[in-house]
Amino acid sequence: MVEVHVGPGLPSFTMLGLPDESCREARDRVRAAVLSSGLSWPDRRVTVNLAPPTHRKSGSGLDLAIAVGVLAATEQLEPESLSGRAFAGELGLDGSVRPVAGVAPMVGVDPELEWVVPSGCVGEAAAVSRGEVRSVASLGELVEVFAGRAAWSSVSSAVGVAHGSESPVVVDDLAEVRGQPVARLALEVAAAGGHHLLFVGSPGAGKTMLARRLPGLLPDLDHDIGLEVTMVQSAAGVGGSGLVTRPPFRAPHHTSSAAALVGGGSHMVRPGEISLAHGGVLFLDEMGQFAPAVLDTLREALETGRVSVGRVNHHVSMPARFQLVGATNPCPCGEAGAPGVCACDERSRHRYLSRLSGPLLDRFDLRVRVSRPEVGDLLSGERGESSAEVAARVARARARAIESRGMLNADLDGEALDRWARLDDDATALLRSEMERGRLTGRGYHRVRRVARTLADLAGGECDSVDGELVAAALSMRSVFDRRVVS
Amino acid sequence: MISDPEVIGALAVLAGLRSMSRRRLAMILAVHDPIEALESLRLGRPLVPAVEPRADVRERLRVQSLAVSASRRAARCAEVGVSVTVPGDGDYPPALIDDPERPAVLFLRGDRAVLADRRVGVVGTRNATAAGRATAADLGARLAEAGVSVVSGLARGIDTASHRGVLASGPGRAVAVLGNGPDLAYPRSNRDLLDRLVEQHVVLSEWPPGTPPEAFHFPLRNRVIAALSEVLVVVESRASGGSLITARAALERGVEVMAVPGSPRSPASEGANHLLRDGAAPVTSVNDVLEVLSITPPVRVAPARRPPRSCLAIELFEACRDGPRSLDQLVSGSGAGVAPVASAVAELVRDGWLVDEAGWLEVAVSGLPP
Repeated sequence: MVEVHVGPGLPSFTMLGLPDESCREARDRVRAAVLSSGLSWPDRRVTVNLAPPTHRKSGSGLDLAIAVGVLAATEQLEPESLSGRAFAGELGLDGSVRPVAGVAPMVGVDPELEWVVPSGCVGEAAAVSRGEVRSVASLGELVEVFAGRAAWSSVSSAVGVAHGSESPVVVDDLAEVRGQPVARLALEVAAAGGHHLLFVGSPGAGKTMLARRLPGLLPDLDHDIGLEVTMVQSAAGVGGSGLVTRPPFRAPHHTSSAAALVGGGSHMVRPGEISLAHGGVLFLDEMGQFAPAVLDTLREALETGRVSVGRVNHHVSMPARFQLVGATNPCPCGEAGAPGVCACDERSRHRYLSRLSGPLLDRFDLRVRVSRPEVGDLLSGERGESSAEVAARVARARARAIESRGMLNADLDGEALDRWARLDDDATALLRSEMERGRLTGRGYHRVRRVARTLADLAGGECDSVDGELVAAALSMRSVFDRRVVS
Repeated sequence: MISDPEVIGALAVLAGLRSMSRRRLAMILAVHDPIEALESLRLGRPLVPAVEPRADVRERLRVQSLAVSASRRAARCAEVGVSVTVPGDGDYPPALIDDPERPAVLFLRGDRAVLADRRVGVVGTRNATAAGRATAADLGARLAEAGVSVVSGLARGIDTASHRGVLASGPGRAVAVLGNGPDLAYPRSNRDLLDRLVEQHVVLSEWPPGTPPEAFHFPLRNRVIAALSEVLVVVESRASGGSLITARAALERGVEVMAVPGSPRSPASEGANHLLRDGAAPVTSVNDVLEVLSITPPVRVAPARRPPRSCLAIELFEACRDGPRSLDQLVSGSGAGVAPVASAVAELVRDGWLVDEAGWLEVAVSGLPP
């Protein structure tokens, strides 16, 4: 809340309520904007209080509110016209109102009010607001409207509603992927079951290309998640316009710090990459190259779907329920450990992969080896199935899972698996032989059944059991990190 | 065998010095008594004039020799059951006595009698293919079956496979020559293998217990393998592999070198194929080796495997014959879906037709007919 008092005394401008440097500069921006808009600045003592006074304020989003406060206090605006309204936006020296980051969460604080926001932020504000949203391009325009000499610039009724007015997001199509049947299937399974996915393959095998195609297979976000994503993107200043409906895709570089991933900031917490990936896909390329401490920060989010950032003065919890897609080289030389070709010995291979070991690795239901596409596949010119076709199957499988089990398969625990993924004789025999040879652990056993369940959903199987073929396919998508690699 | 703990201690200290080359050690021990040599070294007294003209090396040897206690070294030898032998000693392996570069001292664990049997060296690359390892294991097992001892180096890959082949068979036994102290397993994953070898086979080293492996130890170790072998078989070797050093050492000693032929497209067989090109005898079956040793091979019956069940399985097996295949390649090649191919492959692996090498599928059978 911004309070403005204009009283007698030497002309001055004081801001209270712990504004930081970027916020304190509002003084000069607001004064210049008011004067440039042909309005007058009071030659009196101006005191601005940013309540509550114990929290630090940062950024330029309060400029418009301060200016409106000053104008109302000097009766250049009708004070009554402010009631029931809220203002957000940055001022330019010429009086223009510019977009700022974080309008959506601001609106979310009190969505019933009539919000006046920069025209660039109308979409996100409208997505969150339950009252009217007004767009304003300059301070002068605002004064004209309040004086009754002009009307609000019209806000398209379509803005902020699902899809919005923006052009549909261009996503990479699965049809462009040549060959690589196992990796394609893994993407489909990941999309249908919500499983985390790890690609292991040599450079140039197309791990990144494959990962980029996962969001295109996921269904639209539902309204609540979409709202959260909109808020997070707005807070980070990366939002487009309107309610976000498509799952986001974030690919932080492996040199990212822990704060970049989880979010942070000393007095205004900015969402990190894992929150920006909320509802969508977080892709970590060269996963082994991330600092181990950075990877560790992912665990809380994977566990709870939220991430909390603690600082001395405050504690913020942000949504972070994402689908993790990792990619790594199989060994230092990248030759995928092909027998007789790879120059790395087993120990250096093991050491390389063990950077990822432990609890994080446990999260990946799918661990798929990606090899460079066959020359024949590249040259054949034959396009694979398109994302749309696969997405339709994914949507059916997800619906089936939600309808019968109330959750995606990635969340099934051992008990639910016993109920919903019973093994037939072939499957039991196969898993037993894998376990006897020490290639499958107890946890691996659950993972294989979860993936087999998703495969069954994709195949349209209604029954509660999975057969040997599905289990074999599931096994083939998690064979990379088994103990045998080490022994 | 030397029984005086004082002599054992002195030998263990001298042989374990980092700056003590094997040549230098041999020269010193040829002239000096070990106890006296150690004392001279510690006091900085000159040894054989030809041994060390350089003062800095002499100083280094002096400092290193003062850092270890001879009695503790001797105690360690007794603790791990290491016996020590030098040329001229009754227990020194006869095969090494006349070697121009014979080890000046040997540290042995296990049954020395193994060294009196017929001996064949089986060596190869550490980063071997599954087929190579299967061949080495087969060779080890079949040679042992014919009563031949198998000499190798306890390294990863081919060495480990050949040792394990011997352990799974008999009556022939294994000889492991190490590049580190005989109490250490290198790689560490071979700890259990080392323990089993010590029980009924023999492990020997030029370095005393507690000496860690060093890169420069291994070429030296290889010459001992060559010298101990009557025939040396190179199973798989890269174009510049340690096994080629062993092969060269064998040629210098007049030991017959044989090699297992591999695909010209397999880098793991490049070195072995070069040997064949240069005149080494090919090993196409264990009988080829036994023939060189003039041993009549024992008669044996091949175990039956469950035949593949489906046409798809046969097709996939055939596809893997040309070299390792990934599942992706098999799926693309067969035109069937991922699930049926994965299922057929799982069956082939379970029944022992294919092996899964970190995601690469290879034909499990070795090139060796029974």
